[in-house]
Amino acid sequence: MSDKRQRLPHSPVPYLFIAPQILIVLIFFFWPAAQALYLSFMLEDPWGLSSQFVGFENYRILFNDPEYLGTFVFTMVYSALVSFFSLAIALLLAVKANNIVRGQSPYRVLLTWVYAIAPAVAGITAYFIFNRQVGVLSGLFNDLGWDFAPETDGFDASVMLILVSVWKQIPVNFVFFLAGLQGIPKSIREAAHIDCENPQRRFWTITFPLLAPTAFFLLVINVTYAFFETFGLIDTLTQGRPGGSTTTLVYKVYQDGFLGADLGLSSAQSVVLMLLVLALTVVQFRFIERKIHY
Amino acid sequence: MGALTLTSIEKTYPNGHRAVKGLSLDIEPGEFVVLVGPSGCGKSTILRSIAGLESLTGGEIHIGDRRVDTEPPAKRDIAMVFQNYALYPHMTVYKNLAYGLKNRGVEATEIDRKVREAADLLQINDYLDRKPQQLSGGQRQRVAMGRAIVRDPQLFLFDEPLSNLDAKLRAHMRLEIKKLQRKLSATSIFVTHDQVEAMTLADRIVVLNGGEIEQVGTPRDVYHRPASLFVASFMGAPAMNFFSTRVDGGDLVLTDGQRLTLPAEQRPALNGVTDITLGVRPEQIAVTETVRDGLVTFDVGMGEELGVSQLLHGQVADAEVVLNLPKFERHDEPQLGLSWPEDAWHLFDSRSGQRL
Ligand SMILES: Nc1ncnc2c1ncn2[C@@H]1O[C@H](COP(=O)(O)OP(=O)(O)OP(=O)(O)O)[C@@H](O)[C@H]1O
Ligand SMILES: [Mg+2]
Repeated sequence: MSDKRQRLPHSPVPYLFIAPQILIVLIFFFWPAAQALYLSFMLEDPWGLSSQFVGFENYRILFNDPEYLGTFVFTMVYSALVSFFSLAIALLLAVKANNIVRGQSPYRVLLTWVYAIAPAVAGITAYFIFNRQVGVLSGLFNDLGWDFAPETDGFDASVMLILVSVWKQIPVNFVFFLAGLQGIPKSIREAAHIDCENPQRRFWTITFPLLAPTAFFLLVINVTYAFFETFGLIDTLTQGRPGGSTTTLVYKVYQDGFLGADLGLSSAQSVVLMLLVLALTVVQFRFIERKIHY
Repeated sequence: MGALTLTSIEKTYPNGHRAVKGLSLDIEPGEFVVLVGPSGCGKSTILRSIAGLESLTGGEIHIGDRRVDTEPPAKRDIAMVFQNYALYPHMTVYKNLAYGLKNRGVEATEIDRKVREAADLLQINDYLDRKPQQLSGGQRQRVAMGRAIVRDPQLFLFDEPLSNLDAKLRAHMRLEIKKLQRKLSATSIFVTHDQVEAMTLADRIVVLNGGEIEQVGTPRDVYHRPASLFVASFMGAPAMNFFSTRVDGGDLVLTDGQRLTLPAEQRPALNGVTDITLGVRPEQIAVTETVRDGLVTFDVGMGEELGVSQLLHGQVADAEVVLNLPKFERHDEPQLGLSWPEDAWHLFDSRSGQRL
């Protein structure tokens, strides 16, 4: 028997089609990454006129800096809380929205359009909401007996930042969760109704496992969001104040590199950040994805 | 008190559609009842209302002597087999079977015993550790049955469970379901729009039309004594032939003036009705090659070979007629004479559609 498999003639055209994408990745990702790696071994003067190879000096300084450790811990806690709450609240809202029979669409639109707000705008809006003099929420907290002072109190500032970050991320998660819920066949939900009386139990044994692929995807997205995309919020809301207590790793890269003009140190930080994100992603795919049924 | 009693149940959907219009039915313990009817007649709605997946807008449902129409589905002690099986894709076959028991607080050893027993019965022991995607359609069908059987419910509900299978497997599973139902003497309601399934499975057939019952009866009853034109035309393939006639003395006159002499024992049934639709099943009509007095003249049209028999299409008095003939050699006669035995006459009132 002859080989009946269809052989496509090789042509250079497909390579042309993917060339722009590859170029973009090369220029905007690999090149800066390589630059950062290179710079992290250099000591450069603030004007960028001269530089000198210093080996692991930048990393040594970094790891011995208690402030960096603080930033690291804050970033981890902050990302974990933001991811958890934005996922949990969005899931709750999506489940409720999915059960609504009438008026589902206005409800969905209301929950979704926060997504259309740019982070910086959200930050400024939140700035007013939490403002000491005119802020609505600030006033509410004060009325409840909480002397809310994000300008001076690190904890209050963190709470504010987390609230705003969660609020900003809920719509994305909501949309995906709702789509995921609606992708569960009606007959499976009905079979579960016959097999299990308790709604909570039904949710955790049937609905949630079937939503797990969505939830996993969103977890990756949310961690990335908390790490990187919250930059705009932090920059408009706290600028890392008070005393660096709301500085995330990304924000610190910016502060040290652009404001502090210590390119070497800042580059070392981005290399660490890169490795961290890489490690997190590997962990997520390795250990969590495996438990998921697709 | 029967196993299931429906008392004037009504279902009007929120969009105002009245899908079930005051339907009452009594089902005996161990009985296999089949609901048939054309698409959209409310079969699924009735079944889903019994299961509790739709709420009634009127009437009552009793299982045994419990009133269940206000209970949630899990409390009604019913099991349902869905058309697309609705197996839980993230659970193994074993867990699919065990799930309902586990949620009812049955002990693990007891669950294991029941699951294995059901698996034995359905010959699915080899797949217990597989996920549903790793099974063929027929195997999934068995698992779906297993999930119903393990719970040993008071009532089994089937919503077209065989319609996703190919013809051969369907015939096979049909027999299996019947055997199983006999063995477990499980009270069952089976929805289908396939009349062969209905005829073969049912102890009693319920023919539905537009949310109402047209006829309830044994398969034989429904086939041999259809209560209305609707039932007569719905049950049987090819469908019954109908002729519109007028009564003239003891004769029925076809639209082209041919006269048929009504058998003596049918005459009292007429009861003064003058517009009669005469129904005759295709397989009860015999042909004679010559056209004679006393025979109905048939204009021969297309023939179709079925293997066991032949279908011969044609016309009688401008109405389409089909004959189902076990042995027929085609010649070139343009016309044939038709006759049928006395028990083949089905008389219906043309106006009301009811049997006379
Ligand atoms: N959720 C609903 N809302 C409004 N109308 C509905 C709804 N579900 C079904 N119907 C209507 O009710 C009628 C009966 O539907 P049902 O599903 O019971 O039909 P069926 O006899 O099972 O048909 P099929 O053989 O096609 O499955 C149909 O006219 C259908 O359009
Ligand atoms: Mg249906």
